[in-house]
Amino acid sequence: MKVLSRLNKPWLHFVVLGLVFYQFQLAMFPEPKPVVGPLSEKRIASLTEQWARSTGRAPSPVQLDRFVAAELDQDMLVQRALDLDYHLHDSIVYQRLILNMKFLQLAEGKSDAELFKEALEMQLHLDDEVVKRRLIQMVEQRLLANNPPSAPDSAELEAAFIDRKEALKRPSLYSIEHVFFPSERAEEMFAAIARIKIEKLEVSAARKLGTPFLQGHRFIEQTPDQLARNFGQGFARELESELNVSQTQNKANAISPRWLGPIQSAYGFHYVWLTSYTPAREVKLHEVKQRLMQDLAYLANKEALRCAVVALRTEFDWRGNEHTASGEEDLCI
Amino acid sequence: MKTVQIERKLLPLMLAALLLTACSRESEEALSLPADAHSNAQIIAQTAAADVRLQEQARSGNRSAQIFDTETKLLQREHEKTGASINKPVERKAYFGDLHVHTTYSFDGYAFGTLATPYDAYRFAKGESISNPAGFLMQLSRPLDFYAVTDHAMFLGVLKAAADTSTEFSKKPFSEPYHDLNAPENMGTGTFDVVKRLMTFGSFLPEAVMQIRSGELDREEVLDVVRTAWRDSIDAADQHYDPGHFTTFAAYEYTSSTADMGNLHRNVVFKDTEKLPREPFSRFHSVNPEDLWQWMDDLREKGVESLAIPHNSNGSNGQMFKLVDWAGDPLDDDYAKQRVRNEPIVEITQIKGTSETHPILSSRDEWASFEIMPYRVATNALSQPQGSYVREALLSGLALEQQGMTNPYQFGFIGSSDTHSAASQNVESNFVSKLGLLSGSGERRGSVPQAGIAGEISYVADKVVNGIRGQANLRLKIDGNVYTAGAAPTFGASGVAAAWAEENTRESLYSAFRRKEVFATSGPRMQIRLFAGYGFDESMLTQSDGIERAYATGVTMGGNLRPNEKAEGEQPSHPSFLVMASADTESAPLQRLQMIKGWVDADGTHEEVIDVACAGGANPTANRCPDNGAKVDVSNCAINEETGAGHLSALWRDPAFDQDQRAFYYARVIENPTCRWSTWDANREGVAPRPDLPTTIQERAWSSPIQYLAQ
Repeated sequence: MKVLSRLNKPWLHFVVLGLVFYQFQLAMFPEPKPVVGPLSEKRIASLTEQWARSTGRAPSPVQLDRFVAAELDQDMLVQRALDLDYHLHDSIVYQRLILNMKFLQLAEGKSDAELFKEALEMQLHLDDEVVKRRLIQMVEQRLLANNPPSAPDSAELEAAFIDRKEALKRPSLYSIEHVFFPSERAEEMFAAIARIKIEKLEVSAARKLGTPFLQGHRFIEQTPDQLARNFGQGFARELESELNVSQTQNKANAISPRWLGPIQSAYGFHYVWLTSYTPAREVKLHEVKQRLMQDLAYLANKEALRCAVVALRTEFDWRGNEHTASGEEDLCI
Repeated sequence: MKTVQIERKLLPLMLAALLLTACSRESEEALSLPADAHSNAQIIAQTAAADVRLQEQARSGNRSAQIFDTETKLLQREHEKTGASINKPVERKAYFGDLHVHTTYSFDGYAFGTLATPYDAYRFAKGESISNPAGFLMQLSRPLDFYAVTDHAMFLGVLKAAADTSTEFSKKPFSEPYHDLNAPENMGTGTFDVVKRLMTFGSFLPEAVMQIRSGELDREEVLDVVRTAWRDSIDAADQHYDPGHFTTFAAYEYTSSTADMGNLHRNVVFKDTEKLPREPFSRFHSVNPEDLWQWMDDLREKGVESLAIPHNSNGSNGQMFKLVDWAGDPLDDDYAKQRVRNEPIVEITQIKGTSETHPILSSRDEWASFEIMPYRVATNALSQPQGSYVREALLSGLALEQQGMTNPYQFGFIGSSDTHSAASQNVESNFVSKLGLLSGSGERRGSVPQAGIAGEISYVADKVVNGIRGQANLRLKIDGNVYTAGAAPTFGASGVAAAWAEENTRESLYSAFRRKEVFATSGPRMQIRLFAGYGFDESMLTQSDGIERAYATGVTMGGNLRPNEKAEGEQPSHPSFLVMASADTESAPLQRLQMIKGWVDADGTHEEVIDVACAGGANPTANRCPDNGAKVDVSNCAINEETGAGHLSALWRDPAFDQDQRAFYYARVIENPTCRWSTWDANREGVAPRPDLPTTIQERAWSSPIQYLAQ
């Protein structure tokens, strides 16, 4: 009874009813969200021009939509920074605005604090690109701090490894020695090769039948590209094809040391002793783990920021055109 | 006050006069090829004006201020990769690389819009594509074997830190003007954007020095930024070092100059990264290179091995190889020994021109005008040839020896690019020069005219502004077309370093640098070998063990050949030179192989260029190969490949050899002519090649010299 009598106070009814009406009003008539966009025709034209200047062609409609969305997101981040008063408490913004006032020759006889206050009153902070970039940077840091990316797990690592297996493939490796015959000694070459075969000469003895080759006589574990650098592209291709033919004739699985050629290069002819050959192979995960983890961490960071920006759009009346950023939200959990 | 008033009244008249002058066809400049710039009256007058201005600038003391104390504190580094041998050492092979690369950490690289980091630089050298500040991608057609990022030690990383508004350093008032310098909206290539960038570039150093001197900028905070960037550069080198496949070096550039802007730049390359200095020694520790050598010596005592590679002696105004020391005293043995110990090799060619020799110094060398950049570095003032070129320095060294002194100039040769966009630039057909945003188009590089009314306006504006300021014009008019003036058009797509080494590791390559078994090329990956010895015979050219025998019985490039020791009464034998070269399979064939001899006798120093092998097997007459019929169609840059050789070799004996005469010998191999980069640019734009630039060049490679030490 005592409790009820205590509740039976007019002032309390007034407070409770007030709160109820206030909540009701909030629910029925919410504050309008801050508006972002649409982008003016002038800004769209400027984006198109920037792209054309750096690439030499006009952006496609899809590319243009993407630029517009990115531009609107930047506007949104600036707006959020202003809502949070970031521009009032950052030393870079502070210095920049003072410098702008000095540039406008409005600084005479005024302290920095006065200049800063006047710059804000003149809304210089809304037009300065450096200030905007700084504000965006601070909001992005805050978004990332609130939505940190998760460290890549083993499943993601495995998936990235499978996706990029082809690109990560190790090329074939040739270890060769060769006997070199410049073009002017081409005629002697066949007799020399016949001698090497008949007498089954060791490579060191066989080399004596040839001529010095400036780039050297022994090449260890060279990729086709590396061989091409010393002998030319044609040599590397022909070596591979000679090896394929020789392997077909041998009908053996393992590739044993053997003579190949003569093979023509940019400099003359080469009778090649293949010491060893390692076919192109796929890499093992442990060989590329560190590189993949770095790439995944970078992507996760980028994705976390993108999703945080997409989530932030719900707090704004974000007015892109009909295609802008469509479907982007679905990709964020 | 009265003077000011008169000037104000006269100003419109002056402007009108200048405008009329600027618009007049008669005002077109007197043209000269880069190699003839020293006889161009207009450039001579421009040099005199520049000298006055440089003297005034020098008075401020900012450029030569010593604002940091020298220290040799070391970085302690965890080390995973070593220079251990990968394969059993085999024959030495030629490895190609670049030991002069700037990235976003160089204050000028950053001012040119470069965002590529040292990591990006190494990725580029390994064959990946990276972005030029002007927006397009750059990629090598084939990877390099070694690479060293050599950002400027002076204010290393400081402009980048000032511009990046997420750093603590950017919050300083000093940093404010540079905020977001390279943000996308500031990466414009219009005239106004470029002028703004040039002003930033020009003001950064004096402003930084002034503020440190006045105490506005804390030197320790600046050094913190420098040390952090230096550590990151080393980390990048270590991360990308792949022994056996790709070698990196920790390195940086010491960027000193004299008051008249005589270039004294050096790249300092460290043998490994186990022990390194905590901070690089820069011109703001001392502008005197002798102090740099002392610092290197002090570090060597602590187990830190390094060498310094001077570059752009061509732009030194006679300062790089002068015959007095920093204080102006005659060179002595201590100076010479210290220099030889620290500077075993020089960069003979790079984008800012080739420093082998100049037609004024070598009038009997028909190939001496190759890629001459006649100006002092970063000016439009002529650089005095005497004391600025490598061949003359080798001769000066002989003369000093004759006077009983140690020879300070006994170096080997390398080339390197000096790119400021992290990417080597040495292919004529896709050269984008070194200045990032400022050289991203043919117009900016000076190879093609500036199109339309914009060109006219900028020409007139430039003429008026620079006329009033008494400075050289940034543009010039040729046949009614407006071109970029100054040094940029004289830059060359040149500079590759090559080393004969057992394997592609730091240890093996550094050892090649030290013994000077290195050579330079102007871009193509030609290979060149030079040996000298007494037991050499013709069979070394045809028998496959010729090179092994040359190694076993002779000396190779970079070495010293002593007189043959004979028993008393026996005739002394003359040495022979085994010289061989092969063409780059992706470039033009070879035209001729030459020996260059320098010697000293009672009459002074002398030099001679001798063709020793000719394409097509022709025999040289009067030391010259006959014309091999090589041609270039400059309208499409096509060449007749069948006229050249894939390889050239000779066993040469010096007919004038005198065993008592001190001499040096080096080899030079020359390709058939091909289009210069400026001609490629002009063809792409569909305009005529600029008339005051060579339309074709003959790419080349230079071996390091062999020094013959007389009795």
